Amino acid sequence: MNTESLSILNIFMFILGGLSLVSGLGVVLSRKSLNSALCLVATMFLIAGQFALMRADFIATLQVMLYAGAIMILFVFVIMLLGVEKDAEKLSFSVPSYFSISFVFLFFGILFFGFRDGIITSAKSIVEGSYLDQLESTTEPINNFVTGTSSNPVLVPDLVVTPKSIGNSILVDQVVSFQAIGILLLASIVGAAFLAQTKKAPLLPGRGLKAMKEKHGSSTN
Amino acid sequence: MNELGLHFNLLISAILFCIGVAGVLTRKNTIVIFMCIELMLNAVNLTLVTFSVYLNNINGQIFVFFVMAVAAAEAAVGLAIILSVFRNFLTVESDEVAELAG
Amino acid sequence: MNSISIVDILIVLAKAIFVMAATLKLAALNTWIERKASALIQNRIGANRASILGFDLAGIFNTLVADPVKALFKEDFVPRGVSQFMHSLAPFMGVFPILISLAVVPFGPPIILESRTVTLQLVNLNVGILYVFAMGSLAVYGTVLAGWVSKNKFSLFGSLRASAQMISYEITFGLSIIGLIAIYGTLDLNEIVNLQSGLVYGFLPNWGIFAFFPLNIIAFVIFFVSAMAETKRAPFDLPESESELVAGYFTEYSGMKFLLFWLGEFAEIVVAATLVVVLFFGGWQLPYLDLATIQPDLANTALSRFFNINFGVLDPYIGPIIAMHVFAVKVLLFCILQVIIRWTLPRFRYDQLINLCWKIMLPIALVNVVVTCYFVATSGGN
Repeated sequence: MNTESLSILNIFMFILGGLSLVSGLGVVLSRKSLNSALCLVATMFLIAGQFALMRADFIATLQVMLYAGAIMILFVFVIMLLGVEKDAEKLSFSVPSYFSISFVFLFFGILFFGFRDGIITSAKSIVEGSYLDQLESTTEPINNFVTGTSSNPVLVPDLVVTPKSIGNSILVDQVVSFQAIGILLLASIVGAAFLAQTKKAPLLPGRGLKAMKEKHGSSTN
Repeated sequence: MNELGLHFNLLISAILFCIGVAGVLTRKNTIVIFMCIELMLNAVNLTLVTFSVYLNNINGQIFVFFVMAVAAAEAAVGLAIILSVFRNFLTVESDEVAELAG
Repeated sequence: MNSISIVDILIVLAKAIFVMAATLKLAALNTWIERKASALIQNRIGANRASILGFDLAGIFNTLVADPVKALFKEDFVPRGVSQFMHSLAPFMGVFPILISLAVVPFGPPIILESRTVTLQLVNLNVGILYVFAMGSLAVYGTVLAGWVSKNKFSLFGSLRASAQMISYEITFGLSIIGLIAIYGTLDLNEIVNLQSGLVYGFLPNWGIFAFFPLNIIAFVIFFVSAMAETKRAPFDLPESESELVAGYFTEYSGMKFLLFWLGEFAEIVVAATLVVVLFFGGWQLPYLDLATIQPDLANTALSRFFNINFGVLDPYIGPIIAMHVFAVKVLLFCILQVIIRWTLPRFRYDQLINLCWKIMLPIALVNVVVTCYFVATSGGN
């Protein structure tokens, strides 16, 4: 672990990760649903930033274009159309929430169990100073931190993902999944259009054809 | 990509996922529940891309592509369902739509 | 390539400032062009009242100095019951994506010095044009939020219609480019501009619009129309129709926030014009001259001998500077074209607008994609 070193990209990664946690909490803890939606947009944007930091440009661009730019606009439209913020004074937490929260902590514990060793080693290295040591031991620490040395270059894209390679993958290797996604999207468009269509006014007494003719006279249409 | 980045991203992703689970279990507004589901999907996307970059394998990013497409389809249909529920019950709070008809 | 130095960081910073400043300045210039060009088209004089020391510079002082100063000093009015933060967030979200969307556009050929090569492009993403589309889809948020935040039913309706228009035209905006991308084989804007050099068919410059002759003209028309519809410029400006709805979704905005929306709209004109030039009209390529033919050799000219100074150090800069000027002229031509179209055509009705997108332009764009890809595949394309 001592051969690893901290670079400025790690600092950006920490900042982006921390901010995405804060906005994730904002999604859950906001009183108004529009605030939740905007916090979710911010979270998606920050996660797209993390993708871009790992040089996954295509996925970062898709995240902004699809998630933040299309799906969340759907959410904001629905929130604006329904407009159910009449009495959003207190946070609408439901009663069995204590059990839910404890279940969440249990779940996080189970997840944490999987990468526990790595986290503990990294945390120890930062706290005990082996990451911070290399900031003090070299002659030009800030320069190396920002610009990298020959042994630890800052910008090393090991995996170069171009649109051509992604295109090859989805159209040659995984074409079945790709066509299945196409059919799924078609089905969802049809389903959504059918579910959301407005139906005519309910046929209550006084609204039928005879009643309308008596009200308006039989020559109207 | 060094190990510190990998572990940090996995930690962030796990915490975001658990925040999403907490939101789904706790909030009553159906739209906010749906948004927390999207938050969970985003956390999983972060994990997939992190591993894809760490293991030099493009398949992680292809999987993310498909997850995004599925999330888009699910968002469209789910929001249409929420609109239908609103038209019938005039509310989107999940504990007020808890009665079946008849 | 392994380690970067402070000079590299400064160069990137300079390019970033240049991109944002160029977008803002062109947007501001466009406000003046709009007012004067509309005055010329409508046979009147236009804004010329404000003057400094008797010079009124054909309305530049009025539009570029007096108007912003007036807007800065207006009261920042927020409707009652609306949070101040959300009211300020809407113009920010409307303007911010547009200002950063020109980051992937190459402004000129690279400057080749002995120690380094400076590419005149802020960031060379390999998904070049997708980045611009992503920023364009973020621009819908300004519209959506602005209508919700002004507690005004008419603003809400206006903003819903405007955002429906924007997201509909994003589809044709993207589809019209697919054929072009198939022809050039890359999404990277630098590559696309580099591939547009030379001549095609013997006498036409090898610009994007002349490749595969009628198909790319159709793609250009669809792209240009979609760009104008996205920016909600006339004839698609029903959301903001000045004579009918006061100001549509930004009725409740005054002062600097309104000016931010206004600036965002004009910055979108600049972005649309830049994209059209880069994709269809050769970017910084000079029409019939190659860069190699105009490469100067200033060290040996009479100028150097006369002043006894070696002007050869300016050699690497001459070509890129000329190319940047050519690029700027082309972009300005398309900005003026958009302004002329706005003040010439009457406005579409909303259902005509949506019909145009979904029933006319979308099928044409799809057919264009299929036919272009067929021709690319059969002609052994890139």
